[in-house]
Amino acid sequence: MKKLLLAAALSALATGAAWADTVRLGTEGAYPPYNFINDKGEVDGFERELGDEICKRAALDCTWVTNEWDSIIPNLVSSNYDAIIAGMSVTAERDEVIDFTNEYIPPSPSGYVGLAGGSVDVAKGIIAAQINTIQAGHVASSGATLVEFASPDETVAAVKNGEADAVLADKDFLAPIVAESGGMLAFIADDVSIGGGVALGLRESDGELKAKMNTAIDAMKADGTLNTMLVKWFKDAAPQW
Amino acid sequence: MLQVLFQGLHRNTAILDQLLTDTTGPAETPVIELRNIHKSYGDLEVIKGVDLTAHKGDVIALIGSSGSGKSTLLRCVNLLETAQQGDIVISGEPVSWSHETANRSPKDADQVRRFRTNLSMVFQQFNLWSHLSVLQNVTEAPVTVLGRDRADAEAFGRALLEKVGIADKADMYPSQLSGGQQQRAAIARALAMEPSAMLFDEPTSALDPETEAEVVTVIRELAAEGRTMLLVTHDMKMAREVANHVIFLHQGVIEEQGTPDQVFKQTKSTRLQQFLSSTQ
Amino acid sequence: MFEICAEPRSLEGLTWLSCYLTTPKHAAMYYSILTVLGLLLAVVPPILFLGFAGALARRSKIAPVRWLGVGYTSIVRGVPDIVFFLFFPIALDQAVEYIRHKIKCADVLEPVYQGNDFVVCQAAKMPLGIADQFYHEAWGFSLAVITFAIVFGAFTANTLHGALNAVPKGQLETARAFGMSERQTFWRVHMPQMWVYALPGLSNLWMILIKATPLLFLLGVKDIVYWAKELGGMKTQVYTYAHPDWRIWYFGALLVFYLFLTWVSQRAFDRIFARASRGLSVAS
Repeated sequence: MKKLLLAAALSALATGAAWADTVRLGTEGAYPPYNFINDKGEVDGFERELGDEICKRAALDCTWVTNEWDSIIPNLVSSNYDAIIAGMSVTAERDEVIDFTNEYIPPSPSGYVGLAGGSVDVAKGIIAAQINTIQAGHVASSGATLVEFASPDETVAAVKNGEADAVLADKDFLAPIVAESGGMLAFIADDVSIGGGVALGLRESDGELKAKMNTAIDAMKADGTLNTMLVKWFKDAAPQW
Repeated sequence: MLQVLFQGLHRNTAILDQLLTDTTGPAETPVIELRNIHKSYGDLEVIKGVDLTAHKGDVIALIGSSGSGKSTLLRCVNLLETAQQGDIVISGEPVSWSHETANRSPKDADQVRRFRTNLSMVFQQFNLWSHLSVLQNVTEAPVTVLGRDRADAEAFGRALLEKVGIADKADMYPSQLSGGQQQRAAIARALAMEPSAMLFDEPTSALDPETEAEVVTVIRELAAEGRTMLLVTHDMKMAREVANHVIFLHQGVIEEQGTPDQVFKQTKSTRLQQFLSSTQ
Repeated sequence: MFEICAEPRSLEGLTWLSCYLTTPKHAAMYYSILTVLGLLLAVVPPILFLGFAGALARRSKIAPVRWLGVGYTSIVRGVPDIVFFLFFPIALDQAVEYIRHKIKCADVLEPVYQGNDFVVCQAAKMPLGIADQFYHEAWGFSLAVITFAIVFGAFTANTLHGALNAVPKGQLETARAFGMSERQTFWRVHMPQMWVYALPGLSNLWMILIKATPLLFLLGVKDIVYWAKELGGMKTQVYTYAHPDWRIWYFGALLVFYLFLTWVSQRAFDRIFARASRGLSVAS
């Protein structure tokens, strides 16, 4: 009887998209402390720890792959990996193409960073943002001049070398950079709240995987694991559930 | 002329027969026989019914102004150009055509290749293969087309280069040679095929007067050896010296032909007179 | 890597630098040099094959073959490289998986295309989802080789087509006049003489190919430019080896690497050209 059930479950799984054995998690690997490639050459960061924990709780065997941000959604849709876990904010626009799990980071503010001591009108100046991000969308509609870059690192570099007046990005990403800039950079305007929280992106046809991951995320919220993890990686500014 | 002379003497008929043979042509098969050749490019008819017969040992010079069709006729003989009408017979074997219409073409590729190996061509612009040394130029076709042994072909090739006086250039590339040397190499290349006839297409026209003489000397020697040759040329002096038969082509037809003496000294047609005076 | 590197944050100066430069992440960059060189070597045979196929197709007496040749070279050359590199590998990947799906999972009733999603059964995945990461990278590398070959094959076809046309007609006519068959004419005269006209164009294409290798990243293969960018970027304390924006040093090293590669290539091409143009007056 047990065997029969197992066989039925397996065949059900086999016809669906999610194979119980391996789930490939796609991330950018260039957005510390969310996700980055550490000096050992491995994916590291908040999302690495989170992803591994989710997989453990959902009894999934997970492997990590990196993909550049710009093509991260198309490669999910064409099944090169099974989930995006890359600091991706939930937006209505993205939700039309892919599906999202429950959020694992609550809506958190974005911040403008410019050279310390400068006076920049963020509504009119030249603002750097990463391509295809909610921040890029915000800058485009704010009246400022948007310059887009492929990687988060380049947006900050653009401010340092004067190419842009300021950069708009997740505050959690910018905070350590400002702190370690030796006074060169500073938050120069009020924070803005754009978009929803951060969640894993899944293919719309992958309902089963979504259910499993949601269960794991909800459990982590309930027992406080997620909050502990957030504090570990985002320090004082850590958003909490 | 000889005929008249010897008929009058009534001497040894064997000698008489032999001498008659030399002037009137033997009963043996001609090397090249063209009958009623027509060739046009679109609406422009450049050859309008030409007959030509070359027996073994004949040196036939084709003369005429530019556009008279003499080079085209030569190219029709080894099938680089397709004559739309008329028969081409090489050593008794007629070219077989795909069909007898205006856009006919040679039917048998093997026959075409066989004829071409038998009718070596010397071009106005030499056309030595530029990526091969002089000796390689001479041995290339004997080895790849005729299947000769390479060592034999090289020995023969060196002998031929010696014969045309450029043995020391054997390992040079064509671009390192003067025009006259290149043309002599091209003649050696043609000889290496041991053809039954040689076709010369304006062999001296691209040469300056000094080097021209080298080439004329070689051609004169070949003629003296009794080689069968068709010689398209602008050089009336050479035509007179080496040919035993001269054909004057005008606008695609044979206007006048005969021995060099008949053509050059007892010229009949006014067109030929005009042509000859214009070339002097 | 070394004993002394166990506590990077306590290191200074040259020791720190030597430990830093030997991290596994740097090793990945050094390894990616081999990836780039491997790609360059792997793509040459298929590029030349497609180049010759395209050039000969364009010369064909059979009209449909000729159209195929012209179509191939014109379409590929007309599409911007980056579009081609974004579109083609995904299309090829999906085509392969689609065919495997139809063969291996014929009993699966759900459609492969579900809205935006392209979903094939697990057994049809290329490579299989459970396969080692190495196979995923090898598959990406293979897709890259095919894509590079198709793109550069079209340009090569054009160069070779032009070079074949550039050989003086008299040279070929002479070969025929001496009784060579079409095949002999092509191999004994046309091909050997063609190279000298093709080589300048081919050497240009080779240089462009070298410079195009960073497009590998679009295909999911991490090349040396990706690693230089990744390693050179500013590193906060979250990394073991924190440092400011060092991209200028990394890109400087890249510059040296690519200059060296092109310099070696140029010397090689000069030699080949000298050999191919032996005896040809165009050489002087």
